[in-house]
Amino acid sequence: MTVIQGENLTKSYGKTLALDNLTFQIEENKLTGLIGRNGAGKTTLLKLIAGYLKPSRGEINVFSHNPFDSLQVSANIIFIDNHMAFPTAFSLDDILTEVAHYYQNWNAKLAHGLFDYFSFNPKQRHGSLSKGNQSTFNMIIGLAARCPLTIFDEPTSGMDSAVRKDFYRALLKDYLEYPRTIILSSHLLSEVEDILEDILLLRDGTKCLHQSVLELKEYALGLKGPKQTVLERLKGQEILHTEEFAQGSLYAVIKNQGLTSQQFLKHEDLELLPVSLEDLCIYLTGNAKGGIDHVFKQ
Amino acid sequence: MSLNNNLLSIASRQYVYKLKANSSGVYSLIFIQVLALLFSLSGIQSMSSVSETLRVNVKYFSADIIISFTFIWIFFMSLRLTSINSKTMDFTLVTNRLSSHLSNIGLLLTTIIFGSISSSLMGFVLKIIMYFAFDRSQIGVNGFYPVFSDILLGIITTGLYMTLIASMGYLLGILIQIHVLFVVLYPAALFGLEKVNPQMLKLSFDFFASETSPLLFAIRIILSSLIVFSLSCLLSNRMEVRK
Repeated sequence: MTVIQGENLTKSYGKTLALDNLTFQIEENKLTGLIGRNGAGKTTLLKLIAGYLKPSRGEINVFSHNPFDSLQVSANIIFIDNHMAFPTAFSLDDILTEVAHYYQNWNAKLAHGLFDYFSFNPKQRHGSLSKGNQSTFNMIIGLAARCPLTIFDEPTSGMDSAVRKDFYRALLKDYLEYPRTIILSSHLLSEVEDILEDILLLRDGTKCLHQSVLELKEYALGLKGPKQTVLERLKGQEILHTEEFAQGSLYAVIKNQGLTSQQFLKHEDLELLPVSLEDLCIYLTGNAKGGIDHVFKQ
Repeated sequence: MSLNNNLLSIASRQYVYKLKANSSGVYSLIFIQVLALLFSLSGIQSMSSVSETLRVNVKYFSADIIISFTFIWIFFMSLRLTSINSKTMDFTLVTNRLSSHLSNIGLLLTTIIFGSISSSLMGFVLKIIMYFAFDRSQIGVNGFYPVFSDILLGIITTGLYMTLIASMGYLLGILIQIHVLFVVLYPAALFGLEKVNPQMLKLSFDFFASETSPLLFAIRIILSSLIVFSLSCLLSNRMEVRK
């Protein structure tokens, strides 16, 4: 079943175009990563899905409803980011008790288990938590709510690396135990690629690609060798990225179109390198001007 | 996917949540009313006449200040409920715009019940203080000793006025969300109206203040508040949140 469907989705703020004709769909019970550079439109897209914003053009459907101002959609979604607000009168303990009334799948055992594990003080106020702790607490709510559609918008901002690792593990374990549709937007693809199933990559408000992580890992090949040899060998291939090193050596990343590594191994001075997902996404969403090196060459 | 989420059940959940979250509002009400009581102790009006043989000094005491302070309090309470922060709190959890308004209005009506009863009772505190502070013979008896029906009428009237004021405050809050300039425009429009057409403001004042039949008065206030609240709902219906 398709949970989220976007058709020619466009959102502009005044003259700035945040999303540009985005068409995509997200299937039920998938853990999708929403990846993109700063300002690629990740948060805008998530807020459109949550029904906070209205699309300027195009259409979005969540659980076959228009999410804007829909109680039905809101009851089946939880949106976790670091702007969540709770009444100042509530202690953390109160929040866990009160929020539980809103979500029928709420898992109090999980909530309190995580709450104790991260050693929160039950009497503390949400507003007085540090940024990282706020993110951690919000994450607990997001996991325990067990909403059919759970959205995490940069959930790990401010968390230290130990808590981040715990979070990814908790997310994965709970997802396996209770499968649901989860969207996770993140900058740190290297950290989340192991738990994601699909990746939706945004570039300047448009869809760059939407594939499973397994496919994406096969998407590109990296070649390193003397500049001339590499360039000759790569004629006719789609080059995603090139980077020059000292002594006339060149590193190139090409799109893997049914190529096998055997074809390259004949050249003994060519080195075949794996391309990490994070690097690949940077190459795919980068601007064509040759990266940061270009600035310093002038 | 759960389907048993109707508007009223969500709104009532939100209402309970907000009631718990705003229970500290009672303290601000108590504070405001005690403050008003202190102001009332010096009398709201005094009149003295002196002749060669006689010196008469009349002082009026009334709970008017307490009630006006309660009016101001409810105005700001309703304004506060429309703030961005309170909207973000709503949209952190399950809500839509209408359920958020319904729970807000529910909360306001609850505070109005509190406010109108407590302000009427505060009037008694004032009377008790007067009773002990002055010699019995110095007190003009008219209306001093309470009649139950009068108390009830007083509570209901105060409550109805508070409802109207709350609806106005709520509308102002929504307008400010639409554009911050309404902070200035709202009072300016009222003053402007008074300058351009003084009759108009007087008429609308009379419409609410000079009605002698309690039933008609109640109907007028309830209908007007309903209209203003619905206007607020309509205006905010297409508004985006958590931008």
